[in-house]
Amino acid sequence: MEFQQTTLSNGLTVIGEHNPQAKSVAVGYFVKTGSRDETSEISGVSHFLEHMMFKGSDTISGDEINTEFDEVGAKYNAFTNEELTAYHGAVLPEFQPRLVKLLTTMMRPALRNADFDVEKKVILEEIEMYKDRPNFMVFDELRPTYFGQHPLGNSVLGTSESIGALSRDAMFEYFSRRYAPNNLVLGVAGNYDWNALLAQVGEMTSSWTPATTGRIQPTFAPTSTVKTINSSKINRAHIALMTPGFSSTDVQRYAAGVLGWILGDGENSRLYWALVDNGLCDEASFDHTSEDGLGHFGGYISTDPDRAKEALAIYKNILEEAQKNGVTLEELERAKRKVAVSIVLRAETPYSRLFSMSMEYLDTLEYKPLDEVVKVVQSVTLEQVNAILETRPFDAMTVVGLMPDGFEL
Amino acid sequence: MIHSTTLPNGFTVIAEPQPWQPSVSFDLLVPAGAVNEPETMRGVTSVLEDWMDRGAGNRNSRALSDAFDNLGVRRGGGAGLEGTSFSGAMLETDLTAAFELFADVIQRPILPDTELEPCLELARQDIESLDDSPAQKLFVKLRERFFSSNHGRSGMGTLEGLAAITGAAAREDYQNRFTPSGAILGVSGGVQWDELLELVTRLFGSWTGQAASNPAPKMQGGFYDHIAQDTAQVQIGMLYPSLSPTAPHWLESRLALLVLSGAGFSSRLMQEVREKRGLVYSVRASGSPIKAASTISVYAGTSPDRAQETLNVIQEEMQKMRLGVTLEELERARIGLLTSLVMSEESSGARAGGLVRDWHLLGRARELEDLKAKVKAVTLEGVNAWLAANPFENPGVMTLGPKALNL
Repeated sequence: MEFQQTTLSNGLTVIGEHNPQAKSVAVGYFVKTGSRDETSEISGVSHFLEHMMFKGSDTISGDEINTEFDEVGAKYNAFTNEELTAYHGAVLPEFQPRLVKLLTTMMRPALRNADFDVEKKVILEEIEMYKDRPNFMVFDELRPTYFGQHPLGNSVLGTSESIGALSRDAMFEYFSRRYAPNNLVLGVAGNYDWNALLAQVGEMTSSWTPATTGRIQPTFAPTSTVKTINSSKINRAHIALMTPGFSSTDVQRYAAGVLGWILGDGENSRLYWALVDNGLCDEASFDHTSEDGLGHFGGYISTDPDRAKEALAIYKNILEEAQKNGVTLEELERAKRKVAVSIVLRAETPYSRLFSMSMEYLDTLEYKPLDEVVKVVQSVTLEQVNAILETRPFDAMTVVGLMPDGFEL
Repeated sequence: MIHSTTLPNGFTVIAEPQPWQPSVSFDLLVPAGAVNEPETMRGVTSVLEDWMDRGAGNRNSRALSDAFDNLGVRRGGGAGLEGTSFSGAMLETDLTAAFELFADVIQRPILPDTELEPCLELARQDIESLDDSPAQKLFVKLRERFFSSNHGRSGMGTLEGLAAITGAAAREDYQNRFTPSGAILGVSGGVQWDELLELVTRLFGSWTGQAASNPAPKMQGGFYDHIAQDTAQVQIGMLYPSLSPTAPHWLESRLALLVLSGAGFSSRLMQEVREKRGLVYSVRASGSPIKAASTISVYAGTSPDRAQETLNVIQEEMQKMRLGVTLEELERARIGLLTSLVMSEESSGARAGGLVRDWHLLGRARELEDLKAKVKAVTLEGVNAWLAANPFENPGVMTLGPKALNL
């Protein structure tokens, strides 16, 4: 595998991991923008815009985009989260130029009013859909409770009210600020043609102009909060929690990641043995997520409402016990092995390599080949993991329980 | 190239080596599923699958988990309708040690009394969680009503079935239904056939037992039911009876289905329901093959005041299919399917699962090159003749939400 990289004169960075043995090519535009870059007036605009990008530019209609993706047999999609919006697809190598042309054309959308009005209905239905998923809703309630005024607490979907009130012009204004070429990374992986790619993209994006983008990084102080939200529509207790972690450039993030596996992996973790093995909870997980400038450990519990308090107490005890006495070398080695094998297994296809490579690059501006990622994980030491625990990161914990009426956490 | 052998005890092993892969994936389907579990113990198959994992050979539950983790084996699988799957992926160097562990789990589980209660407890919580997953609940209820054979059973079982399970009865059921005859092991990735066959013969060759027999599938559409539940969206589900995966026009039917609802947004349901009218976020139709039959399921979720229009548009599109598809539509469906087949070659897990599915449904594993050639050979006339002779009709329809619809 060979890594290739260049930055075009307009500021667009292009990165590639070439694998001549691959049978496909994966391509994606990764935009460093998400709900954390929104104000409350335009809450949900990043995600709504992601939908609108498929509705066409001045030279192509939404129907034509849909047809073209399918005519080249593309597997494709897009997603938006708090920090990132991505547009991606994979095709057989012969269709590389058509896929690149299509995705690049999409990056300069027309945002037509008629399309905007129809798609707004789709977004409102997506918001309604998630209202019927309590295991999702509990996190939507948790984020603003935990992050407070920090924009990482912003909802990706927005609300029916914010989407309902959003105008096409406000979306265009947001697009103009956030989709400058210097805020985008174009990633390719698999059996691609680098020179053809650069020639094509260079020509297609020659009129794109860089802009000042950036992102605010307010200070953040976690608090300890426990909140119950009752709903007559649900049957189970859904509990979500967050505690502070490490940012995507913090060297401690690898140790924090391994710690998450030791405590909260779905199989053979401390929380599994304390809560799931004995049948108290049908799910009890805990893991670490890095963000731009911040990071957090997140957890989730699903259990019977009348046992929710007991389950949460045991959950907290497990975290406290780890803070008090640390973890063992045996646990560490097992978790590292699991993480390393998972990384290797995930890396089989160009499509999965595209995501790992591009997202790592967006976070750190560095390329890490697979074997180096594995090496970094393998080099995590017991001292590093226990040093994190000694700072008692789980003391400041925010917990939100979504429960049937009549139950409290 | 695909290799396959059936051992004298009826255990089939199929492999497609991909020597360039550093990893190996496998999927082992044992013929114990909800379809053949005792009527009095509905849900026992998934309880057994959990219980088997809680100690095997000379290892207790924790020692077994540690042994798998020390190898870094990533495990998957679960109890399904027609079989229970044990799947895993690992680095090539750990294959022998990992298979030894799986052989213990499958043939020598300890099934200790102390571990049964937690398994039953988790199974009960699974059933209770259904109310918090309206779309899943809808299809559990719809399948139950649609099939008059055991094929409508949910793997979760029933609260009554779980309550009737005792340790002794479950152990006896394990002996009766977890058998080598009818078991299928598919392996793909960095593996050599000769070595694999020797390993599998050593580990699974002396296992004994006759597979349970399955009833023939029977489907009965032509109904509409509504489940009243206070949800934000109305969940709409439809099931159509369709042909056996061994039927001569199977590929014509698959390509027609992709025109109706493919991976992309240019398919008919996506265009008419979402892109033109903005009625839904989710709408899709998909096929679920079982042995000797298949169903086509249609799903949409939308707000109560738009649900009737959504249902009407879907019904209209389903009926229109009998008029046939265009050449452009067929070609898009075809290139999408061919691309999926090529991309599956890049993933050892996808291929291992594909080998087992083929053998289970067709009694043979298809070389991807042959399958691609057959997909390329399907004609527009063939697809349209099939659609004209086999219109989508007589569905079982069910909705879940605040109000019922008019069919």
